Amino acid sequence: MKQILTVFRFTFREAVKKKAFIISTVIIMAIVLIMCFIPRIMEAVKGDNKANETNKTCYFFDEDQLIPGAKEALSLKYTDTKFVDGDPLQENTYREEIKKDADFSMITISGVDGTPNIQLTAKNFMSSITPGDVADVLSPIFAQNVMKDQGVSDEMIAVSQSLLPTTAELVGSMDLSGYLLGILLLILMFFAIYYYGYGVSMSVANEKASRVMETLIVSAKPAHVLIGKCLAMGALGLAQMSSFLLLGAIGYQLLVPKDFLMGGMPLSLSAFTLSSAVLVLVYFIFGYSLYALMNAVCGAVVDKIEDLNSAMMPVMFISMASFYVGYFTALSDVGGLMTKIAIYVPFCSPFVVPFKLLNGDISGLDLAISIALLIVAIVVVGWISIRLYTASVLHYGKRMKLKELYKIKN
Amino acid sequence: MELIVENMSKTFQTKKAVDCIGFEMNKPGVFGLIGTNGAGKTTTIRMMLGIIGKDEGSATWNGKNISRETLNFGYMPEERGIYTKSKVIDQLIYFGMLRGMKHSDAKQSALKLMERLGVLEYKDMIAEKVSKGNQQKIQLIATLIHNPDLIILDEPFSGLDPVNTEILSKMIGDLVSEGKYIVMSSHQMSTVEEFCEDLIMLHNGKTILQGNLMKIKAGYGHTNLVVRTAKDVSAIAEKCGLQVLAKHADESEFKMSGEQSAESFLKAMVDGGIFPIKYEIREPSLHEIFLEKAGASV
Repeated sequence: MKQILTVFRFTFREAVKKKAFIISTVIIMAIVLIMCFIPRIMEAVKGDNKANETNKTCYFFDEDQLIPGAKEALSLKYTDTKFVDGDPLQENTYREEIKKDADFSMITISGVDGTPNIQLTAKNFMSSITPGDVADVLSPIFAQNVMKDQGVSDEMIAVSQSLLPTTAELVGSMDLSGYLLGILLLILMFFAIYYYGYGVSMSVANEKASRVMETLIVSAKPAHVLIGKCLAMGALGLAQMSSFLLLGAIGYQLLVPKDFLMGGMPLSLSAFTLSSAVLVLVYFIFGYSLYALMNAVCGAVVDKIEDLNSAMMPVMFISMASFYVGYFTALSDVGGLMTKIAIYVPFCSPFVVPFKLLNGDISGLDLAISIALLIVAIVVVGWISIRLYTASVLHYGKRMKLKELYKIKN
Repeated sequence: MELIVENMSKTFQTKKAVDCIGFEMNKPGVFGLIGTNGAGKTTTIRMMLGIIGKDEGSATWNGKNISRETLNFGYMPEERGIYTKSKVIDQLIYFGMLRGMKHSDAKQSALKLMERLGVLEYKDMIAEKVSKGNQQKIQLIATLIHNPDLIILDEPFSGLDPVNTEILSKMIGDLVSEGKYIVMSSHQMSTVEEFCEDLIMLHNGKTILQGNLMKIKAGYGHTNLVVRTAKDVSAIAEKCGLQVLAKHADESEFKMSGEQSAESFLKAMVDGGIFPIKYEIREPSLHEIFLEKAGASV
């Protein structure tokens, strides 16, 4: 235990002192603060847009009066746009103006046999006026005019054009904030587990490449070195991630406007309860441990740092596949067997379960089974990793296969 | 205190790296472990210290099997390695603490050894900024920081300049005086001859020679003749039945077939008006014994 603590302290202290760690911490903290500022920037931009109302111009053509009242209806829909009757002789000039300036657009209503055809001319697809919206505004007016001409009563026209009242009742626990937070957490978990796990393999590979491993291994048991190193990098990751989250929480409280809406929903951290936060932490620790143990073996089998990435390919493949299984399970909310697999398989569960936890979408039994399987996997992978690590740290030259390493008697 | 290595063997896949090796050390001093590249020296050391498993045999210190847990040995591997991006003093304290020392004791011991080896000024430097020779000294300090009774030095003199070689030689002498048991592996036969009373010579994992160095040399008898003359006397020597071993600028070395050949060679030189400045009959060097033994077993 004393040796594990010694390795832990040294590895942690040396990693914290590294320039790469300091720079990445500062950069990510700056990104977190910028993200907290984004809602304020969005609010400010919205305010500017309101101030610049009716700055845009749309030339309107309906020479044959195919849809009477169309211009007025469009003016009501697009309050920031001025609809001006265009001169038919100037159509090409307008088109050239539109090419030059994005704030211009043109709507032309023409038709054969009384059936109108609406053409929207805009600089590009990013125009605030879209063909779909224009059709939504003008189609009911056209239908109303036709019905009037056919002598349909105003009451009947009103009934035919009224929208049926529709309300949504969401009985599940998932809301937009929880969903977005869950996806964010899923990506964060993957990033953290991968990044800090990579740190372990890099640290081991460095020790082996610099030949300090032989001095280290005679001073301490390989298992103690491995455990101490994994714990140190995990603690480092936890400290760094906690500092980001803490900064994010402070930034959220101080910088994000209280009435800020995202997709029409308030941005809320209510899904983050104390119990879900503790469980997310547990999954980070377990998930990290599982991948870090495998990464340590990758670091131990290479002689040179340049070979590390190729040695890490199998673990990288497992982690990427597990992440995508988790990601698509979360995105599509497929439920059933696929979700069960993602929750139970130890390589996937650290990515999927935090998402499910934040959305209250996992039963206590599933959670217990998932954690139990994860612990079993860590024990098994840990036992194999320690054996392979011990066999490979002193082996230089041709890279040995895992089977050969496993057979080496230590 | 006693170090006993008995019948140690190790096979890697199909290659027998070490085949039934054994030796003993029952008093302080330096024991030589010599051999060609790939002879099995490092594997022997690793098995002896319990870093890798043995297929057969045992290595004991005072009757107890040697392992990291049972013996606080010091080991300086052939491939030098330190944490290049860490401060010298930090990593020395780390290695001391891994050996069970308290932080303060490890620091004190590190500083003392640094002063003794003349590298105290580098204590707060990042290791990669220290010269190779001084990095080697730092590694030696990491080996000795916990004051081990059994010290294993794998090629300790390789890469050292004459000044640092002298410092290390003095350090080894001091350690022996302090009652330490040192097992030293080396390619430099002159170094082994300087320090080792007993040795084992390995080739392809097998013992080809073992025992007390003086007795081994005595067993060969006085077979070599070194002559320094103003003229080349090789032709005269060959006529007298001597075999030329080496020719230098002003000195030649011959292998004698017997004392008579040396006498007739001296007479022939004098009769020919050549008076030798040096005429020395001596035992073969360890280097020559090594070449003979290793060559014979190929």
